[in-house]
Amino acid sequence: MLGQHPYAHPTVVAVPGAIAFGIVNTVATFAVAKRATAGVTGRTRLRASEIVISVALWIGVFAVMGVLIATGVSDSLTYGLYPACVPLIAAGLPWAAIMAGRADWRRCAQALAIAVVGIAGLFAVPAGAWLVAGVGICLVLLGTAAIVARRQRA
Amino acid sequence: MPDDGLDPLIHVPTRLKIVATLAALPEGDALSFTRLQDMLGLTPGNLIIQLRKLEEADYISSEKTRNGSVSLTTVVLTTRGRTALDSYRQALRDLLGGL
Repeated sequence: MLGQHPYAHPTVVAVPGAIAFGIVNTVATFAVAKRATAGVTGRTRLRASEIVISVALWIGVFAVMGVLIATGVSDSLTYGLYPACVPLIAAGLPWAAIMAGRADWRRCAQALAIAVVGIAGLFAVPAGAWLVAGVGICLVLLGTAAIVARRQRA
Repeated sequence: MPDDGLDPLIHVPTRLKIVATLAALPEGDALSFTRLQDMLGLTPGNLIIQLRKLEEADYISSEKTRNGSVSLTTVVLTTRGRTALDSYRQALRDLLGGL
């Protein structure tokens, strides 16, 4: 984002830009997922309760971030550690529980690994937390892709 | 299902498409008849005939549910069907491996 220093709070331009990106990304993701899974039923489909809990948790993460901003918590925590780590934990742990309930151990392990990346980021400095999150997610995704590719070749 | 060679039941292009499409779903998930028909571009009659042959061999199973006046037919690849596809893939690899 133009004029945005990475370690300072967001500029007036950055906030609506980030929100717009988030909305477009979410809508596009849901549209593609809905199209791809049309006509698919079965045990791997998410139940309404699971969707509601996941969405509530996700909204809750950013609601808490709003509270941190409103209460004047330091920028390094509000824009450094928190957004780099907490969303990964909040998304990873419930997803791992949902996948464990379906006995889908590969996806369960993947979700746990994402949560572990978030927890590891908490032990870093604010800028380092983003580095840990970026590198960690990259490794988890590459590892998962390697496992899938290996299984398909077998 | 033969122990080696290409399974003639799967080797037919239309049935291979059906089995491959269903195999792309996670185990235990089913696909509606209409979506399968849309994806493969088959007529309902042709699809029913091919599904029946696969069902007789226990490669797929189908279930019909009714919600009011709407009925929904879903198709799922069985464990036997998945194994047969794996064997078919291996046989094809062995056959073409030297090329």
